[in-house]
Amino acid sequence: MTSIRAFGLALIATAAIASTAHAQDALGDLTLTFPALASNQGKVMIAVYDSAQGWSSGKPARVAIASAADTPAAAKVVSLPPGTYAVRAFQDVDGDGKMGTNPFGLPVEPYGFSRDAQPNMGPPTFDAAAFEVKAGANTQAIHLK
Amino acid sequence: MNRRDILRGAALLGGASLLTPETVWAAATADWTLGLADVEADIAPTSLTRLHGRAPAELTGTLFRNGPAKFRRPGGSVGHWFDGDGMVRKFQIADGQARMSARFVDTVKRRHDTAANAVITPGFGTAAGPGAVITGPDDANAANTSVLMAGGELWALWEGGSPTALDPATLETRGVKTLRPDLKGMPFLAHPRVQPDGTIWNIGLGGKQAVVWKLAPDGALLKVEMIKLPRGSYMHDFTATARHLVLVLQPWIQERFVMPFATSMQWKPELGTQVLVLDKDDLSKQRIFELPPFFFFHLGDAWEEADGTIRFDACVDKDASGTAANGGAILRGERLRAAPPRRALITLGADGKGVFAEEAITAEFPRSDPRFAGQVRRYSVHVTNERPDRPLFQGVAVRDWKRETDQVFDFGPRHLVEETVFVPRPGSSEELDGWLVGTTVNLDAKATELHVFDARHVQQGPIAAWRAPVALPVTFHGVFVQA
Repeated sequence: MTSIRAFGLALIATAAIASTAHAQDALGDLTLTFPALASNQGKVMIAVYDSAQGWSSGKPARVAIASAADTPAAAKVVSLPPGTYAVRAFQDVDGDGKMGTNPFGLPVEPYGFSRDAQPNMGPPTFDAAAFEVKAGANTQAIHLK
Repeated sequence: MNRRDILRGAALLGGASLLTPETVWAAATADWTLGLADVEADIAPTSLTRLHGRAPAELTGTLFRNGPAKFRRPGGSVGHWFDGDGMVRKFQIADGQARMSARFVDTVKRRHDTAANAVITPGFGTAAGPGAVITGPDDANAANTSVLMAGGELWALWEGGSPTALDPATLETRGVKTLRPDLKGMPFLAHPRVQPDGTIWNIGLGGKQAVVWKLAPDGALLKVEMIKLPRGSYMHDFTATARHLVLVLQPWIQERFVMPFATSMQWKPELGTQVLVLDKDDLSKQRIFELPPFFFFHLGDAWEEADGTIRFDACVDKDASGTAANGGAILRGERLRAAPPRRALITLGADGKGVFAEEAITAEFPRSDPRFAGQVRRYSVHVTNERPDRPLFQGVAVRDWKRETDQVFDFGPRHLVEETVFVPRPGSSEELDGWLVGTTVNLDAKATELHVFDARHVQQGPIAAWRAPVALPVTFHGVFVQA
């Protein structure tokens, strides 16, 4: 119990520090669009990363969801500290909350990366998918395949 | 010697200083490289010229064959015969006449390599070139190994990815076949085993994991199951009896996943060869047999005797070195000394003991009467007579396992002989009552030829033959679809 409370406190503390640290800075809003989806079923699940470390360990800085029924599917991630980010997204067509894979572990639901970075025998690197978020409005279009 | 001769001699010498003597010799003399030449364009439907004989009136249908037909591009070429672009050939026999056409399978690999003007797609014996993008196995799918008719579609098969569906009338590519959305990109070997009732069994491999496919005759998915293998062994083919799947796990072990794919494997003869026998109705019912180490690509249809003994033929090499290395060398017009594959009979006894009996006859591309697939059978058909001084084969053989005799027809050194398939005589149900239909590349005529044998009298030679207006490189596997 103690550890859970401590963890919770730590989260609040981090959030407080983060908000104070960036309070003075102008923040960026990131609008992500997913044009030309092959189907309008389900939701586009989005993970935004702010470091190569987070990218490789699968710990996103932010997550978001877009409805695949919208044309184009879009989501807005607000109040990001300016910096370098990369995005992974997949379309959860079957609505199970997971990226569907075949029994050998290869994706079977549409997926994509910021800057439309191409996977090559594995996901692209953070650097290949990285882009700058500046203060104010930012956009990225990602084509899921 | 005039001035032009001197200049030509000087030019040759200049080249020779950069090349090994073997390469120069091979380039000068290797006429068999016609069987491994590049094809630049599809072949529109055209008539074949009758050479001799008469096609039986009852022999009506289409021989579809697949094989690589584009190996070399200005910016870089494939490193292995197995990595050329698949081209499906169609030979139609009707009313004693023969026609043909041929078309490249429109794969992602071919599109990428064409755009790069170089073979950049990695494969069995080819490294990735600059700019190669592989998002999944079907980006490297050459669709170049065999064909299967399923539900009115012709599937061009590879081994590491999905089937590619073609229109059997026009050979136009319809696209990659996904048998169920959650199985997208799962491998489907080029050697499905088709039961006499049309049920299709196949496997796909991923290291120590395998997928087992069971399809209806129309290609609809009936069952799919994942199994664990005792080892991650390279497997191009498997076999089956009416009741069992038989997986031969040779000691060419996949230790990692790198490109070229062949470099992922290590030859470990100390492990011997294992044979995994699975019950078709319950894949958890498994038996393992131990055999000495050998290397193989192809197996014959297996059968099961009354006491449970399983037998099948195999085309075997001593180890993996010859085939792996020669697949690259022959495209450069070179020939490495390696013993040709030979026929072997494998017996899996009801007592749990395996017996490996290797024979002297050279053998590849084993086939049999498809109406007896998985059942007790008497005959095998295969190519034979590989010469020591050049690759590929020059003869067709029929093995009678009951009498223990072989009938061989030798086309001689001026033909490269491709796989030959059996076509049953309509109305007959006797094993091997019908014809063998196959192709050769005639090195003198510089043309592909189509030959028909009476299957019971192979040694008497073809009863009819036609010549195409072009020479196409040798193919791997085909099917005959009776009209």
